[in-house]
Amino acid sequence: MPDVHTDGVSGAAITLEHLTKTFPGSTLPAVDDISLHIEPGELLVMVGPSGSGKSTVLKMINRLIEPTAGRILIADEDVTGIDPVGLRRKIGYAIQSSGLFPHMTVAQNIALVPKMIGWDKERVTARVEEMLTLVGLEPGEYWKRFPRQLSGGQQQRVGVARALAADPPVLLMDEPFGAVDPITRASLQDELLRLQRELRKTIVFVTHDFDEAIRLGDRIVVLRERSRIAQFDTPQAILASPADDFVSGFVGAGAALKRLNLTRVRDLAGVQAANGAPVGRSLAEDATLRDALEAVLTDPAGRAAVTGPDGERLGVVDMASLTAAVHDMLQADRLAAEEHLRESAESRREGAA
Amino acid sequence: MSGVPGGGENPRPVGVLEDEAAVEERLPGPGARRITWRKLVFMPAVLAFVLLVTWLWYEGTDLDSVSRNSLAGGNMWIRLREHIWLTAVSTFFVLIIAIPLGILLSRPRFRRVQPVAMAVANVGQASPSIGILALLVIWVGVGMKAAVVGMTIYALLPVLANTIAGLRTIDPTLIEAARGIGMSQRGVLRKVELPLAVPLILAGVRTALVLNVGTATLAFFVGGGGLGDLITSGITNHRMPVLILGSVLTVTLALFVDWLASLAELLLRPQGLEVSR
Repeated sequence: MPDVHTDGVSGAAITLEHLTKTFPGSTLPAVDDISLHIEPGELLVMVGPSGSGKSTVLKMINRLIEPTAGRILIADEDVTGIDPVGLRRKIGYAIQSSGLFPHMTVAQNIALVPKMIGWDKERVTARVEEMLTLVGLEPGEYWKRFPRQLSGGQQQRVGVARALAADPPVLLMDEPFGAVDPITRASLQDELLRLQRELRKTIVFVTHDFDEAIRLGDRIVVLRERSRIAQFDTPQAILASPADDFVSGFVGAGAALKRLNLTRVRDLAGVQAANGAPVGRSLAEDATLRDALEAVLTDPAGRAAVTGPDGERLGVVDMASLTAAVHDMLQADRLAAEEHLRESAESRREGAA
Repeated sequence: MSGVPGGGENPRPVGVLEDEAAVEERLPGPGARRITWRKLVFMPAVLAFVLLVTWLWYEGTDLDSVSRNSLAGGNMWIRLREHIWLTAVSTFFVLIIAIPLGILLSRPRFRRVQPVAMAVANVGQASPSIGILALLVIWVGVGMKAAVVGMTIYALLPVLANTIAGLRTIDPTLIEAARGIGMSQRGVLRKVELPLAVPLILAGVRTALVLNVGTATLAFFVGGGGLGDLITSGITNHRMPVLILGSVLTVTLALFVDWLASLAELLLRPQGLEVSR
């Protein structure tokens, strides 16, 4: 499949067309006619309750599960009929509990795919070193370790390194952070976002954790039973206006609070100019609004200073400015989401006509 | 916490982060990783002691002509060599039959035949070995051939069962991961399934070896030779020294073979499996 290199995007577009899977011995399809277009370089999160068939959709992309009907296109090439082994070597695959082979060292695990596609020894060695560094593990220290000598979080990093080793344009991740503790999970999520800013792969990420979806996704597909798409939109839009009761049930309580995680203090309109009043707390401009709320709530005067990269004070937030800003933000989200819904309804009508 | 692949469902409690120091401790030291000094020396020393005592006792006994006849012409060494040869050859056949068969029976295509094959192998194991040997004489005639065939049938089950069990107990998510990163069917078998099944397969081989040392004493009844000759002539002629010599040699050989196999188990087991979190 041709690699797409535009604007630093190394990912390839993925298109699912009427993909359906009926497992032998069952009458109802596990995945019922799903169509999706995933942009190159996009991090798409598929989220849904267990049994929604989200993993089945993912495994059909690398044909670990053969679709009963429909087509899969990667970078405009129909991969539904090509040799699955060759296809999988060009698609990164990371799974829950890392899937590392316990009898191979960290380096051997990472080197597997590059070796299979015939890289020479020096190139493989250099690549393993590069990958370990990329996922934040010191090569000299971890090279010869076995997976069981690593913590869960470290194993997961190696799992991601192995998936990325042959520089695939597409990366499939099946609940990769499902088995680690919440703190490690948060740091792995941050790492993934950092990697993605650098690499711009096309990533399809499956999770049942809606908060994880919000945190990671450029766009989110909410799936209901049999992988029917309940909503497919940006995290902001889904939070602001869930398409139906199923989605709002999945979003759960506290949508406005979750929304706070998606905006940085830097982007907040209405940070007051510093007025010289004493302020106990200070915030980096990169902090999220949730951090700002925390700071305002815990500050005795109910105010927090916003500081720039060099520590200079940019302004002050307090409860009133925060509330006003959040109201505006949620209002804007709502308008955008309604606009979006209207547009897609219109395009459906046009398509039907 | 359990670090078994696929068993990490329970997240660790918050705050118990990556425990670097504890991880460090689990690193095996280089070199003296598996075979301890005691393991290497203890069993051979015990066996050498037993042989020495037997030899001293044997030197001190007055042998009559019947006993001397039984051991004449280096008979003891001939029978010992036959015994080892019978064990080695039958184990060889067990390996080249049972391991490939076990692999084949664990492939999805043949998985349905698996219970049938296991039942057949069970018959081989459950029926008395002397019975199998006697029946084989009718079929292939008297001699070493009958003995080797009988011993092979008898020891097939442990290796077959352990090969199948070894392949079946591999975490299916690992096999899916292997396929998911683009390994071919054969690649998955060669690089993932077989190495992970090695410990159980070797345990089966060890069992088969020890079984064969024991069964080889019956080879004498079908004209196959072996240390059974000494034991039988000791019993029929009521000559304790001959009987004891044959028995002690058989037991010592069995324990020695078991010790060798245990070393092989430690050496051939893939690295990385014994370190558990």
